[in-house]
Amino acid sequence: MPKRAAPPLEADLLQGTLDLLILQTLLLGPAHGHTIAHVIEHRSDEVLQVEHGSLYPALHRLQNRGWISSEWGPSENNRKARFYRLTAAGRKQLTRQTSRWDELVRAVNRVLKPVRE
Amino acid sequence: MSFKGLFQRRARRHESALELEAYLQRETEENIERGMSPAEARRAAHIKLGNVANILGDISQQDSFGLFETVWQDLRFGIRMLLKHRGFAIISLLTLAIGIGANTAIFTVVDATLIRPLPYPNANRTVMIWEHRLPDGERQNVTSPATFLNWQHDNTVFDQMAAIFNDSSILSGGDTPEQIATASVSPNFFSILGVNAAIGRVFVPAQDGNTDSNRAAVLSFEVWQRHFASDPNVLGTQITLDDKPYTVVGVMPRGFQFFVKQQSFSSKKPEIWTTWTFSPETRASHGRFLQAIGLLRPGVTLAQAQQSMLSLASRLEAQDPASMKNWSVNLVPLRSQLTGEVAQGLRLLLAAVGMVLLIACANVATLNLARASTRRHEIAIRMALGASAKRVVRQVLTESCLLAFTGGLAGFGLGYLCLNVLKSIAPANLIPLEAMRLDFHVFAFAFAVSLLSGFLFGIIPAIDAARTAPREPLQEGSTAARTGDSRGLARRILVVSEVAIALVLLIGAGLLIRSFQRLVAVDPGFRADHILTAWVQFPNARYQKDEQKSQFFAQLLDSIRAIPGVRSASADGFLPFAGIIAGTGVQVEGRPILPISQQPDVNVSLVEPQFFETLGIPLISGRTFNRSEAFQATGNVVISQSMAQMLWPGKNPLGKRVTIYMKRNNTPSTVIGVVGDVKHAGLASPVKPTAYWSYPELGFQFMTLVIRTDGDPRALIPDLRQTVLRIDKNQPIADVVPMETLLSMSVARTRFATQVMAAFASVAILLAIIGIYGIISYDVEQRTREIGIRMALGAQRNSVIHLVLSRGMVLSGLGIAFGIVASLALTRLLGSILYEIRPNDPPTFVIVSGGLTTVALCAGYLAVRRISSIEPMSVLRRE
Repeated sequence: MPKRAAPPLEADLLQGTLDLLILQTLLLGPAHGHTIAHVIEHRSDEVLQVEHGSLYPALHRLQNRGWISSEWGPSENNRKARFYRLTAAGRKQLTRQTSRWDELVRAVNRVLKPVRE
Repeated sequence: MSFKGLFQRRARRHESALELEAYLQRETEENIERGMSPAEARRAAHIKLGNVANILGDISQQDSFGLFETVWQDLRFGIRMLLKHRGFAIISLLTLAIGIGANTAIFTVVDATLIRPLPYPNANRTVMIWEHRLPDGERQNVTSPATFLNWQHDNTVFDQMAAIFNDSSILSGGDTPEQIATASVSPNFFSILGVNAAIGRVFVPAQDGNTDSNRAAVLSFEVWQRHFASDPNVLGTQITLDDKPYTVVGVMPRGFQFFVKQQSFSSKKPEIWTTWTFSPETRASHGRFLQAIGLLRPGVTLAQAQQSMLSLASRLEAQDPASMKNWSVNLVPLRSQLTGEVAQGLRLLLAAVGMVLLIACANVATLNLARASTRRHEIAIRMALGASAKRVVRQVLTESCLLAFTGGLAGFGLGYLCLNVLKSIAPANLIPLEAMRLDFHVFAFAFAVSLLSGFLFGIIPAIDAARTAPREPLQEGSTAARTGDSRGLARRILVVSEVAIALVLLIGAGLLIRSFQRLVAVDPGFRADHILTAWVQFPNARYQKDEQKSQFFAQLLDSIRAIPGVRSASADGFLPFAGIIAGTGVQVEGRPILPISQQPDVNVSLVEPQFFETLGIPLISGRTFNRSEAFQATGNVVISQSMAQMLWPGKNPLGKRVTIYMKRNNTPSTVIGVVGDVKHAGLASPVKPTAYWSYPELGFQFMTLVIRTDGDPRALIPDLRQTVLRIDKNQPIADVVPMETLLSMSVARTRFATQVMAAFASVAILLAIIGIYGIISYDVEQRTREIGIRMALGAQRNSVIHLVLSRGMVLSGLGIAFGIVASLALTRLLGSILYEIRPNDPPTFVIVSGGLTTVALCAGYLAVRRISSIEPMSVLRRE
């Protein structure tokens, strides 16, 4: 039986957040999946406990959109690993998404704690 | 996601798996560093990562293309199915290739003739302007210098107008003189068409054609190559046409040609153009011999122009009733002029070939339906597993389109072969052979036809498949006994229409064949075998005196008669089947003088002695011309039987006198003989009363030699050329062809149309046979169980065979009945093409219907033969 067609990509909150985190991580320099997962986990003070596996579809998606690129190279302990690198388009997307994220956070905050005059 | 990526899915999936494995290894190592046992470390790494299969699924889902993806899957599945059912695939592909190939070939011709723009930039505004001869309804008659100049001066609808006279001239100066087709045209001729020269210039009204001293000539590309060895410095060269000097001012682009054959003096495409000048004497001439073209003013429609020219014509008639009474004017757009006569035939062929495609589609649809029944199981399983009806329809349609496009590709190739066959059997000048090519137009057409046919033959099986109720076929044992009635009905309708369309084509072809047989059985009035003909034309400057010309021909004919193998030789001014002849009014001596418009009309030709004997035209009474009459005009005339009957019905015309208005000073001629009628204008044309004068009476500049030979007339050609050059080394001969070739060329178009129609009809009958055979043998296969049970219960084998066969025959009979009705309606369109046969010719209908019935019966019999091999016991055991 043929598989059903893929559903259209929806920018739901978590997915968007994950993308943002990956791009932000790669801003520091090229990294492979394992490193990215641990950096995100570490930098969020272990709050964002996502299954590391969900990182890979996200990486794949970002690459398909041209925001990151990848190449195979030797890792720290000389094993073959796939390194991801931020592209120029990815850098732009990061700026855009960061400011949108800030707006979102401010909006949510306004709802949660109404501004007092 | 790129297309490349789509086809590299396996590699990408592998890469992702490697990447995940790298993660696991790294995580495991770190866990071991943290102090876990290797097994525990690996387990923890897996937990951290999540389900590998799900992750890979997520990743690869991003790579799928939605609709495109499923189409690709369907395609691969379709290819597998076709490879599995090879018999079905091969028959379907062949059928489709034939249908699409034939359509591609005919479309290529249609494209080259009717669709592609004419190679003249102003073609859409260019019209031919003809005189319309009211008494006999000739709507495209050449015009006279006087009328042309009046039109040119007084019209309000044309920007410009040009006169054309297609001629034949002798191009001398080379090794051997050559008779070459030329055209004298008004200097603005090329600018009306909007074409320019490839080298040099075309005529310029201000520069060329004003004086007789400075004659300019424009060469065709082909003459430039052939005669001037593509000399780049040809401009300014002097050439000699009919002993007069011309200066080459330009060479036209490769392939440029302009030739309207209607009432043209020459029957060949002009290769050199010179300027037409109206001398003071010709300006007032009312002799009609010029073709006229005009460039419509922008914004003026054809109807407006026709209206305006009609009122101009009536003004001209009022001014000069003697010459213009009974003459009107008729405008014909250039495209209709150049393609008009072919267009009708082509539309006919297009319709016929469309029918072939319909039959092919019906055939494949039938096969598909038959196969669909055997596939019900598969489709039912798919639907039971959750495939939507839409999805199933798409799958079946994809398979159909796959089949159609493969068939289309094969058809495109076949079309190329067909085109070459067409090119080799097509008569000259019927279709523009050089313009026919398989280009993007044709490819787009073949593609569209493939798509259409894929849809046509795919849609019924697809709907049929989607209606499959999943449960029913899955219940074993129900397959054989219950074949869906609606499915059977669709197949039956398809076979009936297939037989009906095939019958229409067969009857059309049958009518054309019978018409052609009648046409070629017509007696032309002379014996065409063993006759060689050749055109001799004097340059205007030489042989000015009539005696010189008579002398030349007498000497030439004597020398030819002396060639071994020549039985007799003579010459004719207007050879039968060569196109033109002069015509004029006559007045019998002693009867009331009739006005010109009421005089009986006759054809007039000039002949040398022995003409009638050489061509085998029977002498009915009196005598033919003798040798002395070849040198001197004696006022004697030989007339055809029909002329004798027209002027002197029931009486002896010998010795009677009649004035034939063709000379400057017309005196009565004496009838000295009556000869048989000749079908001068073609086998299908009516006989026209004809008067034959001996050569010196008019002393034409041209004659056609007719030579009867002992053996193959072609073998005489070298000797003939030598003989002519021996008498005058500057005198060429042209159009050297056997009379039989002229005769067969005159029916070439009809033969061509008949051959093509017959080919289509054969394909149609072949496809119909496959269709009938297919449905009956399928019937037998589906009913094997039923038949086995019937036979086990005591039915006679023969009666079972009879039962199944009669079912098939009912379908054929229905198809034939519908076909006859459709033919009665459609063959009327053939009416104008058929010769002496009515479109509803009963013998054709009876023979063709009978033939198709017999063939259907044979196909059916072949299909039911296998019933005799059915063993009732083995059938029952299978249950």
